[in-house]
Amino acid sequence: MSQYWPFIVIGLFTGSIYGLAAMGVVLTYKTVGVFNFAYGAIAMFCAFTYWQLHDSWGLSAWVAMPILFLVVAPLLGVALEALYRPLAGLSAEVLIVVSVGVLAALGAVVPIIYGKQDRTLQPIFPTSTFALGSHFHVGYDQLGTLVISLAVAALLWALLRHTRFGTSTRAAVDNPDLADMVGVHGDNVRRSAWILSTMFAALVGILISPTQGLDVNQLVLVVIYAFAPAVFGRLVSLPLAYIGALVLGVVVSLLSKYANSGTVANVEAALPYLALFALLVIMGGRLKEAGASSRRLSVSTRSGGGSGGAGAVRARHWAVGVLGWRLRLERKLTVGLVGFALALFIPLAVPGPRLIDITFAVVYALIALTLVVLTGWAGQISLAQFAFVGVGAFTAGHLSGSHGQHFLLAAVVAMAFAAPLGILVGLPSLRLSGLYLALATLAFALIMDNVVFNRGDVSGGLTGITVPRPKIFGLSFTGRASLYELALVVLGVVAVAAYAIRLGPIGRRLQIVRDSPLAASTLGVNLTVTKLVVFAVCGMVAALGGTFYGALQQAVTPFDFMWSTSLTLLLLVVLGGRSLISGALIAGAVYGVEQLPIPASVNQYFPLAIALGVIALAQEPEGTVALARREARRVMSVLRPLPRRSVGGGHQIPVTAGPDVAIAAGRSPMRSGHGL
Amino acid sequence: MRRDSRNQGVTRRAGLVVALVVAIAATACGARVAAYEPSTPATGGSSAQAGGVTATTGLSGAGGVGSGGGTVGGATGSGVAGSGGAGQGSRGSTGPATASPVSPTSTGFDFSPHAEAAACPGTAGNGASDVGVTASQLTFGNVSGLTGPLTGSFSQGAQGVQALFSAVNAAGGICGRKLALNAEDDKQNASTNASDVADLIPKVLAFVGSTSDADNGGVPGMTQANVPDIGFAINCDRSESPVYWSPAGGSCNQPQGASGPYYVSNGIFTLAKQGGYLPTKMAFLSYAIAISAQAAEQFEYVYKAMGGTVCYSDFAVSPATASLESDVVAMQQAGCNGSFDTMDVTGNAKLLQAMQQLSYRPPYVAATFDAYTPDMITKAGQSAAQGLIVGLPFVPLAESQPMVQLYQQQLATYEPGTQPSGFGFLAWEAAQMLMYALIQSGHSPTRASIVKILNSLHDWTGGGALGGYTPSSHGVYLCDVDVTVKGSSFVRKAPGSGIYCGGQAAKASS
Repeated sequence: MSQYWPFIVIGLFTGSIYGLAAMGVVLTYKTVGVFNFAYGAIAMFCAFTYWQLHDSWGLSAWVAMPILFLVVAPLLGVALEALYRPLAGLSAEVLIVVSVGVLAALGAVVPIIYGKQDRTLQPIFPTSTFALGSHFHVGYDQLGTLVISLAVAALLWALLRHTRFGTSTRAAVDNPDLADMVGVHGDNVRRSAWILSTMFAALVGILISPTQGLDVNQLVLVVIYAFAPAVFGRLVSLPLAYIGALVLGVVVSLLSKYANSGTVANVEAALPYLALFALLVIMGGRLKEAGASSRRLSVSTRSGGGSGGAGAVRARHWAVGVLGWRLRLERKLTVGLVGFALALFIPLAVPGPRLIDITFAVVYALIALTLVVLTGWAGQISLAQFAFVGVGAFTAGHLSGSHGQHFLLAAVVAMAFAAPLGILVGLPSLRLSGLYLALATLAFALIMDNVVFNRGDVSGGLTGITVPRPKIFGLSFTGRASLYELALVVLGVVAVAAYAIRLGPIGRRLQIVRDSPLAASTLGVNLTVTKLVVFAVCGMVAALGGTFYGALQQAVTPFDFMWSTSLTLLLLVVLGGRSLISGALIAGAVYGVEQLPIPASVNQYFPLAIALGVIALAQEPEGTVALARREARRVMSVLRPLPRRSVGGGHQIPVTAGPDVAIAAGRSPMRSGHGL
Repeated sequence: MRRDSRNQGVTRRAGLVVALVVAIAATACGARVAAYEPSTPATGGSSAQAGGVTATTGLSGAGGVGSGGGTVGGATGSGVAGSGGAGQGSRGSTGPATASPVSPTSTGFDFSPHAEAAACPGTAGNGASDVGVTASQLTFGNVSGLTGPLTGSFSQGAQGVQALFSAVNAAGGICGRKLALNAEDDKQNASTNASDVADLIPKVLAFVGSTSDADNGGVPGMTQANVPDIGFAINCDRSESPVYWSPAGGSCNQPQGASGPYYVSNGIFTLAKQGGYLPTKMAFLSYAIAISAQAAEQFEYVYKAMGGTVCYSDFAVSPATASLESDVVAMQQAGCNGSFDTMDVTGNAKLLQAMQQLSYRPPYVAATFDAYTPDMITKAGQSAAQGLIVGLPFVPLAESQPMVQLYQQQLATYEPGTQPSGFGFLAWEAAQMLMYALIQSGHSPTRASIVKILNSLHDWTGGGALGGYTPSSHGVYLCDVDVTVKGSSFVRKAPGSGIYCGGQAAKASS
């Protein structure tokens, strides 16, 4: 037994680091109601700032720390509060998107501010050791981290449990309207909570960075590692989260004694993610989202418009009758067909290698379309969609490349593999929604990344896998133009099918599942079947996209399908418009632009611009499409002639009714400038 | 991380990039070959002054295979020889640069820009002999990972080439033609690499010095167009490509195709064995990332084949792990007296810190090429990093070998602010090999003529900074220099001077 003690002790020290990160996540969720995917990035930003103050400018810790904790962190907290204030009560989907956007923005801005080099942050505590027993040595920095994390955990617990501030924060998160009625000033409380959360992130950053390395990624990874213990504490219990982290640290430490290669080793590396997935599935119904009781309808259901309308607007849609529906359908089909026809001629205009970039954009749009259906239409947020793309690409590589099978067969088999995986990802959706479903899908992506794709026999290891260009029924699609045309046709077919589904009974079923699962059940919609089928089908189409992705690239490695690529996909789809097919096309176009040889000096701002765009448009289901529409209407309203004075000398009242009413009256909404 | 036989670093295409969105990234392992800051020239029997002054280098390499040195600016090149092989140390000329190359081994070839310009003077006969060639200019392509998750790792490749081009242009160019480099950023993304390569193929005579962890992307395009690609490959697809030539091999060797076994040089172990510091019980560690784990497995395979005992292995280290102390305790309990890992600088730092924390330090702790950076020492802490061994495929940059000095001199002059680095030096050496081929091609260079010259090279030493290598062989590069951390810098550990080339291409997988 004595041989295990060192592993247990080490596990406790390591676990205390995860515990700090887990408590940070829980603290934010508990006090402001936001599950902050960007928590690690905030800690990283603060750590870089401390490095600038202390290590670069040479300020003493007695000066640098007050500046960090009393100036920088509070300012960042105030900024975050201002960012999230308009989002209070909105759907988990919106908050997740903004959170990932902040993560992306901070990841982009830190290299711009502080440079791209890795840094080394001086430890706060001495790294010398003392003996514990006859052979075991413990560092003062480890002990310091353990003691501080314990002390802070106790302090925060007492603060939130036994002070008016704690009561106020809980009230403001759980039911802000009620809190206001009893005299709790929600904005002030939330601002204070954000400041407290950010100060804690700063503490996490400067405590962990010296041993983890100060770079853009490391703290983000450590915090994600700590998601499982945070969920163990049901995102509300600091002590439970801390205990969960200690257990995780000890188990991982003990497993390393038996570490080896192969599947077991992969499982060991993925243990925190397996634990996260398992916890979410097991705890399912007992997990409660903060503020759910007072949450307004999701923005996606209240902003309406276009094909993503909701509530009363949607009711009008259904009521306007066949005439308006057909008019709109015909107009959109016409626009789509014209666009498709024009796109077919792109190889003539761009015959060179940039056609490959455009083809990538087409394939990416195909993949993005699955997220539109899944998240925008069915309301099932997924952070794992690129895992299915990987399944498709690697399957195509094995079958079509290594074994010389027909590309079509490879595509079909890839889709067949993806279907049960889609159902597997969909299973948590039967018990989870919103944030917890997002976390479950994130865990799935991480598991696929660590356990499946990193296996040499799956992904080819060092060399990756070669995926040949398709040859179908004697037709070769190895050329740029032919491959582009094929991908475009596939995208067109899938988009038309999706559009038809959207307008049909299945589309309405998806909408009602998204807007009100309870109502869906009441109306006889089988939620289980609907959710699982939509996950499976979207996974299959994403896998189909993966076969093309692989064939385009001709060689794929696990890096192409890392879990982070799914976050990128989500951000681009949100940017484009997550409730619109055109949103997927815009996502593909942005991806295509990113492939262009942009000068590095400009390129560094590209991710930041996208992240800021996502944050700005997170509330808008139609993304840039809605933005463009608004701007177009604004311009049109400026250009519109002034209304004529009526005979009676009065003014006609400008029409404020929505476009649907105009359509119902048989007029174009753009031309309906006068009264009904 | 490393994907290769040679400790070549590679990559961490890390992660969480929210790819275009950000390099948030993640998982991966990898390389982080950041800038190398040369320290005080190490002792090792070498002394030299680039630029026309005498340079001498000690010529004893125990068991090594000697390879020729070159001449820089009239300076005597550093001969590299070993008692076990046929040394070809060049006793290069002094005084004015010689005009023309004398041997396809690089021996006697004068790498100074003035000599290279003088080797093919005048513009008579210049014409548009091939793609990227005009009467006054030669255009070359470079596709590197200038931006991406591994910030700063690969940009030095293009900068090294550009520095050489600028120096040669300042001296008059090759055959009166200026050299132009058309560099594109693949953002460390294979698909972008493919489209960048495709974009450049109709514009350039050849590719030179491309450095990216996504360099597999453009291989099909270059192969189909039969465009020479001279550089240092990171991915296997590129290093096995028929249009690829390198002065230092590639990062991976799979001569029997994708389904065949890998081969790596066992030089790092045989060198240690000769030096008496190869451990008998070694631990192997890697990230839980395919390319990192597979590289570690290959080295483990080779070590076992040499009769070593693997006391512990962990190929599942998560980049997110907070500490490697449990691994170190396991190594301690297993009685390991050495460790070898294929992690990046951060992983190495965690390992070294854990060893220091637990007051357990095996006499042999080795890491791959990625660790050859000052960041390694600062990140681990100077005391923890002491004694770390890193294998290099070239003469340490801190030494006075004329070619490494010339590289750093040109970089300082024409690309100020750029730190010398391993990847940068290898790209620069590739560009020097291209200079040789261009000069030999005369006034009418074509892709075919360059290929012909490159195919004729054998035992190329890049002026003595590299071990002898035959680019057309696409074989395993067998040469190695071990450096170790001493104080605040890396110093040579073995061989005493020159480069050890006594390794063998060892089968590294079943």
